[in-house]
Amino acid sequence: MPPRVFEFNQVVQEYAVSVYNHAHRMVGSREDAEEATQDVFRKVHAGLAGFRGEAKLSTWMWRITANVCLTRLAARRMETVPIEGEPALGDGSPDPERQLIDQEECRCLAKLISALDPREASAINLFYYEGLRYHEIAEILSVPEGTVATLLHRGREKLRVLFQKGVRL
Amino acid sequence: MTCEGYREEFNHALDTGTHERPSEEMLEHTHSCTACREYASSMLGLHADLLSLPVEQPSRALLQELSAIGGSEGSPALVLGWKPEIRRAMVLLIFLLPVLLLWIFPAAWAAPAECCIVTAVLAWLFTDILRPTFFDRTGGRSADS
Repeated sequence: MPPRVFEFNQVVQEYAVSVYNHAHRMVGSREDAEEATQDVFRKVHAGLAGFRGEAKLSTWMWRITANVCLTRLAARRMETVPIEGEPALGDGSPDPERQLIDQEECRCLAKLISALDPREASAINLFYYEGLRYHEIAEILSVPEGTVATLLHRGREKLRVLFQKGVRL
Repeated sequence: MTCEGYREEFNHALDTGTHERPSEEMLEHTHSCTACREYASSMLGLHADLLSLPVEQPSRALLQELSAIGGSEGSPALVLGWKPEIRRAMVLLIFLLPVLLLWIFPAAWAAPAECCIVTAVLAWLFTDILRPTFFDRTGGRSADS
């Protein structure tokens, strides 16, 4: 069977919204999400010619997206250390307008997801928004299926605790 | 059933969509444990919220930037899902195949049926392999460049 042919602009049309939303829920801010989305599609563009089709295109896309977001979050955490046990809600800027925006943003569940451990956030996103199953998430995150269950369980538990603390949509 | 066991099973049920049909053991536990009943209730609410969160549309500027990546960086619009090395090897094989056949079965070229089969196979391979290797829809750039 001849392999499937992929066109970059079709990939953009098909995945831009999902990748952007995934990145937004991972990195928290709109600006970072836009930059992460651009990084993802630059990598996709560079790698498309070498894509062997061994995995599904969507799996490959989500793996790139997860890696880009994890890298950005790791770089950000090198710069700022969040308060233990609290979600990293703001960017530390003293600008009151920015703080107001952040307070508004932290009301949404997406913002709460971005406060989770990046792997937990990734698993939650892939499970709830992309509708992927354990084995697909495991392939994307390169972890065993049992770990996926643990990530989902822990992520939900943390979100539940945040909800109980009074943080709402 | 312990509370820990119940919560683990409840989470698994949420993941597999079987939470609406809890086991007898789970039902018994929720009847006797208020904490786990509240846990299940709050988890169900969260599960529903997560499933119904609206999708945010990216800005028009971002979509334009993404489209520009394909246009400005000059790489192929059309690519084949095989590794470039494999494609090149297959193209080489197509050119060498007639020579190999002639060398191995010199008599086969005399038979019209065999010639037709070989021509048909080569034509099929040309369609599926050569075209994306050398040309793309944007005007003939190599897919490997």
